[in-house]
Amino acid sequence: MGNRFLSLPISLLLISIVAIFFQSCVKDNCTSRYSYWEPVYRTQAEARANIKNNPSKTIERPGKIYIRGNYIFLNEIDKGIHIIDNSNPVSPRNIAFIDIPGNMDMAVKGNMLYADFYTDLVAINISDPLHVAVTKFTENVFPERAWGNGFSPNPTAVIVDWVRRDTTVTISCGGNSGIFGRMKSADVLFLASSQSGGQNNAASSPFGVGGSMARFTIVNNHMYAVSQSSLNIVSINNPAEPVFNNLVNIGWGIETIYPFNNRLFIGSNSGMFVYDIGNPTNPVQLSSFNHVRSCDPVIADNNNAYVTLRSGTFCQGFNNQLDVLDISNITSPVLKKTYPMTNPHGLSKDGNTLIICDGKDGLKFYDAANVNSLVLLKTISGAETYDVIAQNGWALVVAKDGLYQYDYSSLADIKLLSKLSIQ
Amino acid sequence: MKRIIISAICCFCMCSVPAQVGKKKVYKFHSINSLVLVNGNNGASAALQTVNGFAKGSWFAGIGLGLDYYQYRSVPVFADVRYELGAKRNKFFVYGNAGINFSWVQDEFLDEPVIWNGNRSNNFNNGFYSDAGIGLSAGFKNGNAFVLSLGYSRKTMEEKITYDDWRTGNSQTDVNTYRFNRVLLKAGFWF
Repeated sequence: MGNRFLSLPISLLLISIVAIFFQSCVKDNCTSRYSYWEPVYRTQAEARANIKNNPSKTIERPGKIYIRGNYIFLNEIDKGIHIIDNSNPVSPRNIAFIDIPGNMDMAVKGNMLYADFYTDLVAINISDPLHVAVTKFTENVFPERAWGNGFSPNPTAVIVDWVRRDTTVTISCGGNSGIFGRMKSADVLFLASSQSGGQNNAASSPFGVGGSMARFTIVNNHMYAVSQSSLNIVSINNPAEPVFNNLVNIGWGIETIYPFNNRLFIGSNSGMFVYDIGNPTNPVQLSSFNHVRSCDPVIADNNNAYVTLRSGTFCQGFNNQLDVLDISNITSPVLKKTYPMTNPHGLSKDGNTLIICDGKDGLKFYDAANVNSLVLLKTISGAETYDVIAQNGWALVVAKDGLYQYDYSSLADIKLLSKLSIQ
Repeated sequence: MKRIIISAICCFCMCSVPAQVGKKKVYKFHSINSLVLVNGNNGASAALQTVNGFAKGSWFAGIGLGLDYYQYRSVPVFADVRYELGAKRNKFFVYGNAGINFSWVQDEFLDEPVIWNGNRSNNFNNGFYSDAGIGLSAGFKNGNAFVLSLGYSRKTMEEKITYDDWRTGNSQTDVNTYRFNRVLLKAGFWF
């Protein structure tokens, strides 16, 4: 029995039979665990009615910032604006929140604050910051905001919040495998790219008004707002009743706008554009300066423009540097000097002091009396900085972990006045 | 199916017991080197294995190292235990493997740390490897043998995909868990 049972042909046959049984048992099992965001809707009427002073909220995703008198207006990306009482810079107080769904940018002139509300522009009277009041909605000023983040919202409703959900799903294990493993398929890439959606530059890069990363600015009686590819011009002759004037296509990849001497310096991810606004409703391009692909906030003074180039999320490119351009001939900017940086974001200039937010390196103070030879005076490390507004020896700095205020009236003795933490 | 397997194993055990009586048991080094056909519901693939260890009587224990191309390339390192059923030159055996499945994924499945649409990277973590089955050893006169076996194997891997969350800008990680269940048909030589 034993010999017969162990004869080679019969044994092979037995193994083959067992293999058939086994074959029906094999099934790959693959899962993916991830988080996604689910929109919370309100009717447009409800969302509009809620644009008022509401109780203060925790700062979570700070965006643009504006200062008016003793108050700081700080954008909470996609949600609204924090009102911060800064009458005592040593102890700023978050006192109220204006709910503006879809809000990313703002600008202030006098008692009026202008903010985007998805596709619309909302004008808010802030003469009494504790009792703000909407004066007008100007519709469809920013049509590109009808969709965003890879998500097309319900047109009859407004997304007022997003709720994070965690889930685990069964996924494909990869399809047919070759002898030497599977070929690369698109499914894994799709998984991440579909969940990350359209990257939101502002999500990781808070901006500062009056500084280099703003996308709204006001010159005299007109507000200029850049979108991804256009310059929107809104008349505010009657501040409470803004009127959309014109839209100028200025190319793709537009990021920031900075006004100086009746000109607009516009940063795009491929270069800097200078527009003359002698005719406020019909800007004319004077010149451009092309650089490698990267994010590039820009500021300017009488003779020079300062452009920081950075790599990383959304910015593409691999350069991290400060370019100083000679703009004494505004129709033909010329690169004067390049300084290496770590990951520069916003910058500001106060007299001969140039202040640069250099990402994880922190805040850097330069003596810019001679732009051909910038002298690093001081680096304040410990915070990942994004943007800075500097004026008269006082700097308001937006960093990943908080809102900092510094007194740099004495550059040899820069003092931290306060820090308002971000959750 | 479980009943069939258990019955087969019991049958082989009963056949093999008398053959061991009276044999002198010594430790002897052996190397088993196999080419493996890996068959799962996502296709057929290939693997190589070498197991090196010591045999004493009907028992063999060793350490195995493999190169497994099923879906994502990996290098299983495992303990191997097998028991021969019978004393003839041609004999059945049962075996079991368990160990770590070290990922060695081809570069084409790994993203550059920085790509044009944001920070995204992925990496594969090690998992578990197991394999159990039956086989046939067809011995030669010189003591070497041709070994054919059939087993059921599972290898697991974990892929972590890290990218910037579009709302918060913070780093977010998705975790893909792969559990590959396969039939292994091994053909090799026992030295």
